Amino acid sequence: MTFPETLEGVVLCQAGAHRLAVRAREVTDFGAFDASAPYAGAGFEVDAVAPQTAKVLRHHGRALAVDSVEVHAEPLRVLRAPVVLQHAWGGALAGFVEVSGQLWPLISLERVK
Amino acid sequence: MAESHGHLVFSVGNSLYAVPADTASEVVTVPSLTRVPGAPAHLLGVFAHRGEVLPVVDLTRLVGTPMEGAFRRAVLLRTPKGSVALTATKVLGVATLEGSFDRLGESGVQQHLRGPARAPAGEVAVIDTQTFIDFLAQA
Repeated sequence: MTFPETLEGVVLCQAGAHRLAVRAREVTDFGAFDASAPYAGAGFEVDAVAPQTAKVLRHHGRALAVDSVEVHAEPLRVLRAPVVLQHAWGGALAGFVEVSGQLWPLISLERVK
Repeated sequence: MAESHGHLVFSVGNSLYAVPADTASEVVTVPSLTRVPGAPAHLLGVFAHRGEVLPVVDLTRLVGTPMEGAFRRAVLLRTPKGSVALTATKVLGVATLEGSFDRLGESGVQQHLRGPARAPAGEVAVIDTQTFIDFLAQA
């Protein structure tokens, strides 16, 4: 990724009380609960298993379950992830976006394991 | 015995730490933090500061003596390899340190702490800023 990167379209997600974002262009499909999809809450040590009401984001063969999704269409600048977080979540952390004064970790679906 | 000028000394719980004053850019009030998925327990979260995302490192968790409760202050440590905010209970100011600057251990974070050095406030562990950021990045 080259910085500064500007995104037009991100999917803002919640997992428990925590936030994460995904590039909209990475999402090839939205789906309902799927027990085989890894739950984003596990990354926050909220819960290892997605609730039955979870939504699933898919990127080709990859999937990630979250509690809720909201599409944000306004352009956003991607803030670089600190070097000490370069390996966070198996390297899936691609940076951060700031929406309404809050930071959202930007996750690369293709790197989620 | 050695002497080193210009270290910023701060307390975290009952322990004293120091960093070279030229690497401590400022002391900030810790705002509400954003948790990062998959981050180790000593990385409490991040916050935006002047257009940059800064991670907050809890030294008490790093050394294995976690403290309950939220930290309100942090020392911003800036090095060529990266920047972090180190939790602080109290910032005591810049002091001249004396004593030993040997590694305090051979594994974990102890490899990146040197001492025991002495400041007017007491015995201090000096953070080796040259290697500390690399250690955090691999932790």
